Amino acid sequence: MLWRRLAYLLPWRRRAAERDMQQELQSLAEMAQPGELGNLALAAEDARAELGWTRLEQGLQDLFYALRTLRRTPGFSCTAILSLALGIGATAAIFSVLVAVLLRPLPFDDSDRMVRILEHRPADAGRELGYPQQVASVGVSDLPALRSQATTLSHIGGYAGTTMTLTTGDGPIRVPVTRVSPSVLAMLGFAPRLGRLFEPREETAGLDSSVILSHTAWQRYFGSAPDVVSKGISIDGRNLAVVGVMPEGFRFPDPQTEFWIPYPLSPPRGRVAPVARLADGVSLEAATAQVSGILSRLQPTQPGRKPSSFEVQTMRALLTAPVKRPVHCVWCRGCRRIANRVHQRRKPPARTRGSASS
Amino acid sequence: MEPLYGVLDMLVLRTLLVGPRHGYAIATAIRDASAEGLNVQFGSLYPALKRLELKGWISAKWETSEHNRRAKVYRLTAAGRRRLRQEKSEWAAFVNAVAMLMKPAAGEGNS
Repeated sequence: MLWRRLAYLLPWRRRAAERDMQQELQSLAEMAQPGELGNLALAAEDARAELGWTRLEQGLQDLFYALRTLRRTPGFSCTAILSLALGIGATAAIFSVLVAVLLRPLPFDDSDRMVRILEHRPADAGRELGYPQQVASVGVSDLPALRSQATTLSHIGGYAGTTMTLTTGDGPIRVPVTRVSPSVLAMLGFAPRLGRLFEPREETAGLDSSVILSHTAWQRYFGSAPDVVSKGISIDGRNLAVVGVMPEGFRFPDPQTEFWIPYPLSPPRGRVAPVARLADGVSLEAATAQVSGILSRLQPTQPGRKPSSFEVQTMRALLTAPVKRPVHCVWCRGCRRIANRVHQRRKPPARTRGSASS
Repeated sequence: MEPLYGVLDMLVLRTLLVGPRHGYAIATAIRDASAEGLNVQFGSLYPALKRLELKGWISAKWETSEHNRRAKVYRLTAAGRRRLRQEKSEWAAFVNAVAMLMKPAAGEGNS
């Protein structure tokens, strides 16, 4: 049986079988009354299916049809293939980011307990923008109240990235700097490679002329000198004392940051991204309720303005949220583009079942 | 009525037990022998012939009939005979089982 099936794959055997079948059906049709045998083409089709390989055949037909169509329109084919390639490539790239960010935990101690505070500003005619906003910052002036009243959180502090000018022997260089509260650096649980982290007193004005180097900055600007700690460097015209060097692989809040300086609480200027550590045994909901209460009381009440609501969110959510949508979008847009192009083109004539084999 | 799926093969084998026949003769033989109780569509019969031939239970050969007509004639092979015996006993068991299930229930009466 297998032998007969395999033989049927050979083109000449198949042609012979096909001829034989047509002759037989012809002879049978001559014997019968007209119409008595019904649809002979359909009977032949089903008989062919019995001989097997029909599915393979149809698959091959479809494949060749696709190749013919692609060859007939090289421009369109290239566009489609490129769009798909870009879509797949970008999806793969984003996936590798996701693996790095999500499937491996944050490189900090208790990273599940690390939270940030998010402000949801409703859309409201009293504000500049006519749509709801999410703001991931609080005024520096709000930090002391949060620290003294929020029992569900510890290590409350903030950070803000900026670019400053480092004066070196070869001239000034613009370098990425992050201002950070001492409590936040302490929360992250990394021991410095050299020297120390910031101390709480260093967020007081006048005592804040300290700087911590990243491993990269230490190598790049100081040739990995072991005696860098307690040396003075000039950033934005201020003389700052190097108090520590972070180990390789410490990245906060981004891999670019080369220098950390303390965020001074006084004078209370500007806004910081607030982060904190969720106290043990406290749920995000409980922390959200408490923080909302504190921050709502601090908000200036103005007639005609709807109050903001606040949310305590894990840092992991912060890392996921911006990635989820692009992943879906890139892939969907790639597909949509091709679908649009296909739709714009003339619809190819409909193919009927088995039309290529008769 | 149309025969049950799988029964058609058995009917074809049984028909060819009497002697070699071409496709049209098999169709009319089944219809006549069942007193037209079974309506075998040629569209089902023809693929069944190909299936049985592929399995080696029947063989086919072009022959010239008494009316000097060329026709492809099917005959039962030795394997086909064995297969028919097996199907016959399976069919008998099946009919018995269904008959046992379908005997009149106590409260049904003789209507």
